[in-house]
Amino acid sequence: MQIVDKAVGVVKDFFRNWDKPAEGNYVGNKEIIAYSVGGMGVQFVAAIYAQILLQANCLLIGTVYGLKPTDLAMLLMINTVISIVIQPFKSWLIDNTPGKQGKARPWILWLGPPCAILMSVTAFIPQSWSKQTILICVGVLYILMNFIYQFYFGMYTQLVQLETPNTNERAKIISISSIIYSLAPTITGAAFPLIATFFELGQVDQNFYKVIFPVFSFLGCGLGMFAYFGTKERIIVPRRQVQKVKFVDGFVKICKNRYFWINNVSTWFAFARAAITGSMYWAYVYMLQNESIQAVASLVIGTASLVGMAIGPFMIKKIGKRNTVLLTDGVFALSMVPLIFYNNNFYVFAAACYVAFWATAVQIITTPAMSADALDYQQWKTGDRLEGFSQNFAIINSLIAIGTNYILPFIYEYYGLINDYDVLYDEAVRSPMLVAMAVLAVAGALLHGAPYIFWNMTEKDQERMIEDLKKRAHEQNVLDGCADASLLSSDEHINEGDIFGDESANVGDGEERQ
Amino acid sequence: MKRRVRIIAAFIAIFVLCFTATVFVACNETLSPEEGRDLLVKGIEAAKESDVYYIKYRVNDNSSLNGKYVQYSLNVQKDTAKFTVATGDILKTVYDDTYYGRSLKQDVDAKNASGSDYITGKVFWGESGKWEIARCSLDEFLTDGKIADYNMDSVAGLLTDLTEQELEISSVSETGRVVYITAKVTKEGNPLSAYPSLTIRLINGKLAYVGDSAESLYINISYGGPKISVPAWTAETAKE
Repeated sequence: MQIVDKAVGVVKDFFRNWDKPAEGNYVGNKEIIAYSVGGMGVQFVAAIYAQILLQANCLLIGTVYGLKPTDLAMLLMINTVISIVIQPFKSWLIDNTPGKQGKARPWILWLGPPCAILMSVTAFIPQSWSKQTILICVGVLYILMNFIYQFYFGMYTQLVQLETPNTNERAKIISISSIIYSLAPTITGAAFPLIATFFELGQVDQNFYKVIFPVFSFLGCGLGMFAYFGTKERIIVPRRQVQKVKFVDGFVKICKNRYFWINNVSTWFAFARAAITGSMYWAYVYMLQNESIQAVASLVIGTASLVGMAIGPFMIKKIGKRNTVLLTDGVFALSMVPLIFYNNNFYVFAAACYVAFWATAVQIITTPAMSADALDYQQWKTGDRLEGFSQNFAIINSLIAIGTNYILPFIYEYYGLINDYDVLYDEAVRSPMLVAMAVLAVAGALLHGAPYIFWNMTEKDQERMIEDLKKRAHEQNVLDGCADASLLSSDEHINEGDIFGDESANVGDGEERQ
Repeated sequence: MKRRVRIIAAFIAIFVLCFTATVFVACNETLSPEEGRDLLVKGIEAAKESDVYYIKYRVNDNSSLNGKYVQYSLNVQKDTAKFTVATGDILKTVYDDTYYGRSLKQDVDAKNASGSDYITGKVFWGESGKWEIARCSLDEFLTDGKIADYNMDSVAGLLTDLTEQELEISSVSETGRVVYITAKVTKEGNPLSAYPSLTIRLINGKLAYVGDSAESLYINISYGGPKISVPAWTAETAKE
């Protein structure tokens, strides 16, 4: 009976805060649900994007179109160079988004449809065309699609950082939304192999992609609109502040932010960490070869993400974001060790990936939350909101990626995977390759976590910074003659009662603002 | 001091990663044509001994982009086999499959099946619009009609018993578990002589690929393949 009462209480609380946020928070539950449903749409689009990666383990690009790993690495390099060139333009667009809808939301509205169109077209390249022609078509489509998709996905991720200045609320929204939107990959994970059974060659049949790409990309694009229509952006700014930052100044400021460095250096090793988990499809197609079991396995493995995302906020509350990242990367590394010695059993492979997916899912909460903390720190330190400029770090990441993108293809070709992925049916080829990939994944997980040893901003530090920012915004509003104006960019009056709190903000090792 | 140790440790780790990558890259060894010929002969022998293989054989006409192609594939899994002719165009690929294996009579529950419900032989889509079965052995299946052109003996036979003059090897290199041979076949009547330069690959010491630089010829052999489910037969016919 007590459980029923508790459940009723939770539901009542949920609807009590449907439109109006709970005390100390900024976002109502209606908005969290809108963001989450929009996220499902974005994840449907992401599920299709995951089928078009320029990687050897991508069934459409690798197996169906038969493009070589080294050719894919070359395309990836071209894509990287182009991304580097246009990155400043992208950053400028973000920091100068037209209209008054915010920095992230308009892009979700504008970029969804072209992304879905380009993804759909990718499934219709005739296999009879020469490899060179296919390579050019895939390259052109991918470069266009990747730019739009990364922009679209990035803006959805960034939206949560802009919805609330409260770091704990951010973690809560990320957790709830990721649990809800993870339904999308769970659905596609189970549905894709089942849909594939209607096609002669299953997941290596091009006709399969001609069906799923248009259906799921347009469905995702439609659902994604909820994130635009149902949310608001709330950053703490003086009412009349118009931010203009020169490119070089912005870049220098960002480069002095140690937290951006930590977040970004860590991503340099994400490719290595994902060496095995990124090959889950290979395990299904070449090792398991049973689409019914694959559908069930996908559902079960999908729960790893669910558990990880649900448990994330509690881990953050208990041990903090930094320690959560260190712990989960350690667990990830340990989960890959058994595959070095025994990798030819699908169930051992799946169990190892389950743990790894769990660890990755926890970081789905910590990563954007820590990026948002780094942005708050930047604003507190120099007074600048640098969402767009912070993305210029991608230039450095891309330069690193030009080199690292070749490591996995080298491993593939070293063991015999050159241009026909049927070799993966052969255990004598597959098994030693998986050993090398497992070693790489262990190293990648450890190196991914290592930079966070230097992260010294606690959750308490972030709260103090936000209070300090409110105080400064209010002081500026008074000077500008609009003392009653909202401190939030959304023009709402929420949680302004404690702006005269007397705690002074200090971060990390007692750092002071400039 | 502690911070410096951490930074140094991080850089050592990065160095180890880069070093490992370099080792992979540096493992390219050039071999002599004679060594290449020996490896090829052994690779063909090893291929012929395998009772599990999956051959894909495609000849492309790269001069047109009409969206049509034909690929022959033969998947042999010890005592089961499948021969597929895939005809593709821009919208759809159509597959014509012929199977070999132990097939259960249609509409018979496997739990209640008796020995006579199972027949081992070639299962094909008959003119009656049903799966028909013709009793035969695996060897008979593999040497039957068009399948004979795409079995291991025929494919490996393209490179067997060629003299030094008939198979001119221009370069041989070895990277990891792969041996790359560039060669030209000059023997009259050999279908491979139509191509000015061939790439031959051995993986784990077995013949794995034969193709030309333009990929107008594409023969891939892997020593494993998709699982084969032999369809249930409806009518038993005389062997074709």
